[in-house]
Amino acid sequence: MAETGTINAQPGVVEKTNTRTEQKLEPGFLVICWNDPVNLMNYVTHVFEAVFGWTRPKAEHHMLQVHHQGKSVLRRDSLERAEYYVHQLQKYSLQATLEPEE
Amino acid sequence: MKRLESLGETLSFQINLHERFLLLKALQRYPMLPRSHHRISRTRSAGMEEAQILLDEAIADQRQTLKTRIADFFKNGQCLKTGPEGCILTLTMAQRELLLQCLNDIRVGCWVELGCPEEEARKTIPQTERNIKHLIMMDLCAYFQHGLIHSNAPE
Repeated sequence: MAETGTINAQPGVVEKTNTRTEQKLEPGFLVICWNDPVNLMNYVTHVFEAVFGWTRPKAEHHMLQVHHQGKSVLRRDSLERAEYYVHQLQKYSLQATLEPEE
Repeated sequence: MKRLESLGETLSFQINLHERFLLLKALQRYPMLPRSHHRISRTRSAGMEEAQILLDEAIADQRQTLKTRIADFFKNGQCLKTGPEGCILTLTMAQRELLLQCLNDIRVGCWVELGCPEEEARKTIPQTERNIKHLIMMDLCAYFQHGLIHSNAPE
């Protein structure tokens, strides 16, 4: 039987909501690629093109941001989508993470 | 390694016998990156433990799939045929991406084995046999990655 998520709130009892479900749907996460001294610049550009379907100039712009500024915010997305993109980038061994937007 | 005229969705590269030998030798090293290298976030916040588990599972699945698929497409000889001037490596776009992922795992894995040195510090790494092997492997992977990526203008 599927859970309905009904919570019986009582005085003095903190209601625990399913935060992950909420996070999954709301665009509150950043996909960030961090600089490292090992990944080749043309490789990083290629990965951005392959994963996001970006044009060469846009992919190069973000690659250069990573190179010069230490990181680049690639997307702002829901938890679920941000996870998907981080998985794709890490499959290419890039240093990509998802961070909650402050 | 040089790009040849492509037919439809496939990419063809001419590689000599030395390159063929080195490519197959390099690919035997896959996977090299330690699992701990893959971190989902630099922030400790709610939901990240679960997200880390999902990433670990995705990477483990990818490794298994990639190892099998790379072995398959070199095993039956369809991807790598010997011709009059060496070998012809023929890949679909998807296979090229898998090969790039595989080569970069080895390249970054060697770098981790060397202690994650900065670019300049690589020149002063102790010249042990182990370190030299890792440095050569990094350059070798970069060579093939470069050849696979810069394949938009066939000669």
